[in-house]
Amino acid sequence: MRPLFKLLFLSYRATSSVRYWIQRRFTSGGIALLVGLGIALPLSFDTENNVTYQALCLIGTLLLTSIMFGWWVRGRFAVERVLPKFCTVGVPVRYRVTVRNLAKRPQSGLAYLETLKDIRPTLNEWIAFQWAEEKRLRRIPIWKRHMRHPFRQARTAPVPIPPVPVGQTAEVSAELTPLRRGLIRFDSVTIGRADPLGLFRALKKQPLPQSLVVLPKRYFMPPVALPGTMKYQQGGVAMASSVGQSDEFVSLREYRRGDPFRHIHWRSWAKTGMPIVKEYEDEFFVRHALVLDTFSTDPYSESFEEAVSVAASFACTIQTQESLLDLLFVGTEAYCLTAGRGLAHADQILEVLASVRARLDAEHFTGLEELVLNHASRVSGCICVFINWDEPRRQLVRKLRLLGIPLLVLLIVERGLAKDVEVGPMADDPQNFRVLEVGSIEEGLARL
Amino acid sequence: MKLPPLMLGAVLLFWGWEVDLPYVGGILAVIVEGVRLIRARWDISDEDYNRVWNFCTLLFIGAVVYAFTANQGPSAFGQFINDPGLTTERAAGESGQKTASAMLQWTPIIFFPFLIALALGDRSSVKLTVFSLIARKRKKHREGPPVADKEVHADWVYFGTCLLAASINNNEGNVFFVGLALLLTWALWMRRSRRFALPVWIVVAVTACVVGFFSQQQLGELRRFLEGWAPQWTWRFSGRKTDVDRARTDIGQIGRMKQSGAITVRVEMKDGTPPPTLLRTASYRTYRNAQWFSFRPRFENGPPGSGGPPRGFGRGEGRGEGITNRSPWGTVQQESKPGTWVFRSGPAPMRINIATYVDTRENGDPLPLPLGFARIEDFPNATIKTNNLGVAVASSPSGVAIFDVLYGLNGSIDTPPSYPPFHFGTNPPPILELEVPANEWPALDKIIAGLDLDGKSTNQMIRAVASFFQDNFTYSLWQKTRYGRDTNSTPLEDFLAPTNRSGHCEYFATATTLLLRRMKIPTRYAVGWSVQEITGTSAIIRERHAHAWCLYYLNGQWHDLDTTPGSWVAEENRHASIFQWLGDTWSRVKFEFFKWRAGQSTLRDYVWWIVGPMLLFLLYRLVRRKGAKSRRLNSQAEAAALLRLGLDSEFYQVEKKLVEFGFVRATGETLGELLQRAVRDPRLTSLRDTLQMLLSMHYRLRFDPLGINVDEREVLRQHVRQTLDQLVAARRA
Repeated sequence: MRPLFKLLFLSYRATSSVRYWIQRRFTSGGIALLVGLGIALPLSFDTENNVTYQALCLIGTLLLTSIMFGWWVRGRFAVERVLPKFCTVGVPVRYRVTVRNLAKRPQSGLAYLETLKDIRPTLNEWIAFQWAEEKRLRRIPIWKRHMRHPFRQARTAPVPIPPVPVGQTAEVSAELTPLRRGLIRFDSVTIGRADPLGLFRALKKQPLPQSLVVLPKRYFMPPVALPGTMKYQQGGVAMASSVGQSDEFVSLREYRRGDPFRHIHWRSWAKTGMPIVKEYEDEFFVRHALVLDTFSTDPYSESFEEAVSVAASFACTIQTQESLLDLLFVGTEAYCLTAGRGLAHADQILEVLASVRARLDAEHFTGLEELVLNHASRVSGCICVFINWDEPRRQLVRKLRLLGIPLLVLLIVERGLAKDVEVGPMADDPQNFRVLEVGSIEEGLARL
Repeated sequence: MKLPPLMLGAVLLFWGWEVDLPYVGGILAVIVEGVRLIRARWDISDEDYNRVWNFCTLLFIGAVVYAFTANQGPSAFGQFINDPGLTTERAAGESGQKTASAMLQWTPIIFFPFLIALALGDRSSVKLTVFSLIARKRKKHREGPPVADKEVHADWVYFGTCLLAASINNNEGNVFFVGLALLLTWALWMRRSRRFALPVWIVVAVTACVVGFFSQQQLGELRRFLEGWAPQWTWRFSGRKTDVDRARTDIGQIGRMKQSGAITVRVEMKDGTPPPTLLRTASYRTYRNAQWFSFRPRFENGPPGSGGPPRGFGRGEGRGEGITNRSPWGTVQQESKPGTWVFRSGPAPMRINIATYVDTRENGDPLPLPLGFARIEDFPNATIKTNNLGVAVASSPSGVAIFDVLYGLNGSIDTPPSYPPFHFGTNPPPILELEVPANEWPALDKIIAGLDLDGKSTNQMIRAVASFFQDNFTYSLWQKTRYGRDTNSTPLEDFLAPTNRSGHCEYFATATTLLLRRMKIPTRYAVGWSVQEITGTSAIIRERHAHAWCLYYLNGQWHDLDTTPGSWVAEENRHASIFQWLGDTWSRVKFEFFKWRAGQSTLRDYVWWIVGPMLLFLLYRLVRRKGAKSRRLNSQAEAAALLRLGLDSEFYQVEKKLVEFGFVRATGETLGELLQRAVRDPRLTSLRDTLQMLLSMHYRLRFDPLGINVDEREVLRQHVRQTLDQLVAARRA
């Protein structure tokens, strides 16, 4: 199979390159003429019954003439791109680009084109995706199928640059629609100049590397009453993300075995001649864990993307002024991020979520289980966002329930599979077990 | 619409001229340009556009059906499916090509309602969801990438479609090229790059057109050269049909002799005529090696070297198997009443209607007809020829034969038993209808001896033979052992052997024919159809009802004799598919369609009763949509309101003038930002304050609810005039 896949992969690379080249090189008029050429070509063989071959020749020579003009751009430019800090997947973002004319003659009829870094997959990544896609499509009726394009990072369009006098700067507002979360890496900027007929562009490229963080999609959520009560937090807020006790000083007392040395009050020891330690106030507050299931068999699974979006929606929605939110997930290693009460902002959680990747080794789910169970003693409640409902996940839920931790379990499933899901260990608390279908996540969240 | 005035009109005129529909093109052009003159515009939603699109699609489907039938599509494709071959393939291809050409030519008419809707709605582009059901569904269910919101510039698409439609013609000359070049360069002019001066554009466009012109001339030459060079493809014949000269039987074969349940002939009895039992398609005279021939095969007119052809016969004449020995064919002339064919005189009281498929080519197909047929009526546009064995072969351009046949049992066009022509051996020549191959004699004689026929009349002998087969034989579609496998016996001998005596109709017919011949009764072998499935006054004949039987000559007349046991029908039906009803339904649809195509169905009259109301209903829904409203922009109040908004501000002249300095207002850029950018230019720095003042007044005019008074407006006007003069001076400097 591999040689066949290699051949298909090469054809994929070639096709995508040609498409990219056409989109950048040809203007909309040029693309229209290319389409005309494609339609006229098969009809042109029958020169007895139609004269389409004449159209073929005319369109062909118009395009060829244009292409002859399309290989050089006279002029020097200094281009600056002003990007926002974040953007959200699927939401168009506008940013400012300034183009300064450094040549000795005014410039007009130019267009600004964005050049992103090539993120097309390697052969192995591509094969993995094809298998996953094949498995996914097999479940879907043929008339409902649509191919995913996970290797397209953003949609851009050429922007006309207004005439730029000598030494002057023109400003354009470019638009970019991110198609996947993560980091968009800009490679260079390109100035295009159409030929006299306005069909083909000559391009001038200048390196200008930059990057833009694309946050996951977020859904509107109603105020959620999360389960759980306040819990004693050793070390208080400041230590919530590490270990130790609160900073709030209460009194002095005699040293007891096991007290940390850093709590010893040296002056009092000097006065009294015996070890005295500072005593701090115990703190109680609400702390929630947001568990994100990253174990998927499909690296570009829609349900995984939706799970990340759901987690992001919770991270944005939960009021963290008075409570803490721990994001627990397993990436390259087990992660725990705490936000709220001044520790970290939701933006930081979103940034982390923007970069979360699916893990294809489902057998390492125990890593997440360990992480959650170790953390369980500190949390008031737990929100679990799962993308599967197999035995290891049910087992984790059972264990958390045995520990007496209130749970809200959200299961993300593909379209049309919600009705087949069994409640399992959440049978006695079905209110806190919600199945969200891809495509109607927002509706599901609104019912929380 | 975004297209400039007259462009669509011009392209429609060009299309009309090229496809020989100048008046249609003219009318469409007047309508589409006339819409620009009226100022009323409709508030047409995407949903409405979708309805108009559906209407156009319905028109398109109707046009496809019409073009397909008008270009002989059904018959050509039917022939190709039933009889695949190079000729039928070519006919089907030509029909398809003509249909496609017609459709391409008519596209501007079919989609004209959509163009008018665009013009009336003052739109140039519509969303993809208007055209695509898939996009609509995906948008509804939020599946896949958001392609549904993509805009389609429908006016440009229509423009391109007109050009493509105009190219579907075979007019001589260069009118098409010139017209196309003019229209394309007009379109390109609209979207040209402003970077280059006008002369450059003209030179480039003219160069491209001239090169295109010469290249299209050379392309024609190249194609002609390739055609001349290309080798001719070999001709091949293929297909399955009744061969009226030779019948290859399955005698001696093993396995299942099963035919399909496809309906091939439909019969309707008229004037109280009882249903015929057998419909013959061909009859044969000579039996050799499990094959029946209408003639005596090669070298059997006499032993080689025993005489040869008489003197005076050229090469191939008199010796070849199928040249002089074949039954002569004669073309039947149509009577003065169209569709009437007379084969013999004499009374023919019985009338049945027969419907079947026939070849469209001249060689045709044998018609299934009852013995004793005398006339065929209501079969126009056909060619019919007959031979002396009572076979009628017909061809029809529609591919379907539906006719009334009148017959009687008092005669037939079959010639009496005859001697073979050109017999070169010893006298007297044997009568062909009494000829039995010598290797079959022992078995046949043994049977005859067992029948005890001494002293019996011919009729009694025939009845005895019929009873013999009915009583002693069984019908079987499954031949387990190969008859005639032993080199010392023939298949027929094995079939007649008391230990076997089971077979299908070809065994019975052949055995009967040869048995009667040994009794000196002239016989022929007939093939055709057995009429079994009779419902009321109509009957259907399936492929598995194909049958063979014997014709015997008695009292100067030919008679049918079918000795196959009656159980054969039940045996055949036992193997019918449970999905036969499905095939029957499809066959009915196909048949009705062919009938309609042949002009023998009244269905055509009803089609428009169905399609017409649908079209009217769509139109009604479109026009009477709830909430549909038209808005007129020509009211004075609206015009005044627009002026009130300050759209006539003189400041716009300043903005226009700044463009000449290279300061084009970018998308989203305010006038203030534009001015700030402009005054950084050394030539315009001195105008900074004036321009700011003018902008301030302009903003008040545009956005202040109180506006500016008449005096202030006059001030604005004067200052703008002065500023324009200063700008001109600065540019000159």
